[in-house]
Amino acid sequence: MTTPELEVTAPDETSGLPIDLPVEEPAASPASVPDIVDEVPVKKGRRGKVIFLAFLAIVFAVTAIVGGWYLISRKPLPEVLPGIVTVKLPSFAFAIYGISKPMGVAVSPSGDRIYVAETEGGRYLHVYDGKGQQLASVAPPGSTQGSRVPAYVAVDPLTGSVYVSDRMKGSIYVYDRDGTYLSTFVPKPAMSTFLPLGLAFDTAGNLYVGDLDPAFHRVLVFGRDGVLTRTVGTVGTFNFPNGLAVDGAGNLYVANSNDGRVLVFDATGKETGSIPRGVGTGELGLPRGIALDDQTRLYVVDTTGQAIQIYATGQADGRPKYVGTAGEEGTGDGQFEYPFGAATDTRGRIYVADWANDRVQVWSY
Amino acid sequence: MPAVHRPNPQRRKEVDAVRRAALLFAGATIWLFLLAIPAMADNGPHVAGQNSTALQGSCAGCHRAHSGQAPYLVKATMPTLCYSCHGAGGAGATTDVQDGVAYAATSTPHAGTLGVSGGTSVSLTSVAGALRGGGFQYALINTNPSGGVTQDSNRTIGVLAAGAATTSSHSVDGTPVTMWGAGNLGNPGVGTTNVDLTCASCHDPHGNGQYRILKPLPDDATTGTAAVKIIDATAGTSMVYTTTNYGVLGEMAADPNSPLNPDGSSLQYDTATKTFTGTFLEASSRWCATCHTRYMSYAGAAGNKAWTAAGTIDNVYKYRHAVRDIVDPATNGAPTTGVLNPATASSQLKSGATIGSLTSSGTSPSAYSYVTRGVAVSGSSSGLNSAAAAGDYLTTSAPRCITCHVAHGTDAAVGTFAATGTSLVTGTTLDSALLRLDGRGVCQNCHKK
Repeated sequence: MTTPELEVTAPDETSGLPIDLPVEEPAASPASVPDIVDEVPVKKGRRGKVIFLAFLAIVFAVTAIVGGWYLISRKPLPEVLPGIVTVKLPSFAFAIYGISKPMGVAVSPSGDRIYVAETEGGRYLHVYDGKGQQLASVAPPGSTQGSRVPAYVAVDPLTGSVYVSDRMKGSIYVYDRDGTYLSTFVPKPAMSTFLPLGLAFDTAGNLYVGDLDPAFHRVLVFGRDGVLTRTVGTVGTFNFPNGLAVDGAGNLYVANSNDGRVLVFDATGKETGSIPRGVGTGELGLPRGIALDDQTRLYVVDTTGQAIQIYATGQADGRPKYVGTAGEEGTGDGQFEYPFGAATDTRGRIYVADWANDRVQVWSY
Repeated sequence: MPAVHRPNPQRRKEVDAVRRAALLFAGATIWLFLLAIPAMADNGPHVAGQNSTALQGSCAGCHRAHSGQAPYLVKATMPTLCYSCHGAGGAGATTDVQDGVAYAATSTPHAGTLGVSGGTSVSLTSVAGALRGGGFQYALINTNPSGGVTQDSNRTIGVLAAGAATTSSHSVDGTPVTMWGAGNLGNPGVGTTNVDLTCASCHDPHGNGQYRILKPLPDDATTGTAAVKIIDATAGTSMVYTTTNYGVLGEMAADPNSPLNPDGSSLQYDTATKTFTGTFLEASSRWCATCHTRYMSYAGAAGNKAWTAAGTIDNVYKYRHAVRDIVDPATNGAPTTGVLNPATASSQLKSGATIGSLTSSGTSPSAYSYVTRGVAVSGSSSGLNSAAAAGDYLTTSAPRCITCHVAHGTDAAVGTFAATGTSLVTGTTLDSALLRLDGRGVCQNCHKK
């Protein structure tokens, strides 16, 4: 018997075998039922699967934790996941309306109380909850609209008391966190001239006051007992210092308004840096409001710049490093018209007195 | 029959499990990405530095080349722009023109101290100095110092401890107002209506060396082509912008904070030369007259009991109170509309012999006389009753516009004779015509009737 020659032809569509290949016909089974061939399972160890699923679970858990933390604290990503480098700029969140030319704004550390000083209308200190619902409108007892102009506001970090400056009256009024008048701050020793404007506290509870003394503008530092402990600045240092901010190391940041600069002083009162005036990126025009957040970011409200300039502090050369600008001129959300004071809370929110727009804007990350 | 491959149930479960895990992982990744978006603002709508380079610099502090919001390419309407420094709170200036308050400055010549001339700053108490011109919303003028209706002469117009809402002001909030007495002599009506003033109508924000940086000619001035230079008599030593009292007749004193004594022993009257020494602001009345033109004009033709001189009769402003600093335009190029000639007026006064009472008889201007506030002159206790003293009146003693009126706003309660509406800011009725005192106090301060 000879072996038939194998001819290669097109495969059969059904069997995949060359058409002309002789096909050995299997012996017909009586029932014609096709064989069922079970797929051989992929050989994968049980241990490998467990590891893989565990990895997925860990990734999911980390994601959930990070996301939850972010939703609660609104911390930018690089602060939660170090190594991620982004430009961190806040965005408009909401605004509080019904305020006549607000100048100063302050907030409790947790953000559950917002304090706004208005310079027109009733000239009250307005108290709001964290969502912007008004709780009270207060003023010094016995005062009239024509006898007061509340300007800047600061919150005592140790007691929660609210301090409000009034340059026209030459006074600083003290209220509790809900707006009940407590007292009038009395500087010691007594001062024949006291024209307070900007206010700030350091972490120890010392009060910093921008004093527009006719001899020379300066920043006065008072202890918890109201006693003057030191004076920052001399003739020619300041020109209408407005906003003040003090960081955890005692460095003082002063919005030197009419000089167009922010000046930085160390805890001894020595000038260590500045943000210049000018037309370049990050330079200032008329800085008025100033605030620090718990991430040592510095927010400077440029009144004629109609924006918030943001800087990173703690630089080696002492000069805050420009990070970015938030806001622009206008009347819409996220726009400013001659903004003044600024404040921050521990939730990464920034509060800005949008003076000519008669509102306070709240920004967040 | 070909074999049928049956999936292994166990494998199916494993595949499904991996598929679900993969979906969850993808979902988590997407969620993480969404959360991170606000933090990745470099790709968001708030692009850093979009306008920052255009907002710096001295010019850009007030102007915008292409997006000005008001005339002259300013970025905000006035007074908002000006109030950002000169408004309530005093964030950037020594003057708060909303409240009529001035704070001491640190250098001359703008040593706005509490009435102390010579450039010496003094410590301020809790009450800051008061602006002579008052404020637009509040003023610190004690407009009723006697506490009664009748005003007395030799009144020291003090400063209030707290601001009072203004009852009239030069409108700078955009409200159209009437410019009383504006226009040409003989015009119908009382002046130019629907005039809209701004801070820059009167002041030059760029600075010009004038007192209070007033423009040589204010906007909408209806007359005058020659610039009016307002001189502070004490320029060079100090410009006293504030006051602890407005003195008698306000601006007539060299030291307005020195109350006038009946015996004349004050800085306001020099008994040796028999002249009043108040020369606080030279040419200020002329400056006001560039807008309030018809107040300074004189009538002509017989029958009018006013200064006789050729000119157009004004049917509304026929008779006007004499004021200082209005000079003949032919001699010094001041407002071309007819003005009083002090030389002529002085000679007419000199011939008068009825000093001490106001008469309206006859046609001779000499029949008119002026009762002073009782300052002794040449030994007389009845006021200016000497020819020499009378001759000096218009040049040295006559009131200026700012003797009786303020520039910004007053809290005086005068009545409805000059009602012009309601303040948009304070809600009070505007009826005091920028006068310094309640009722007819400014009249009584001199005429003591």
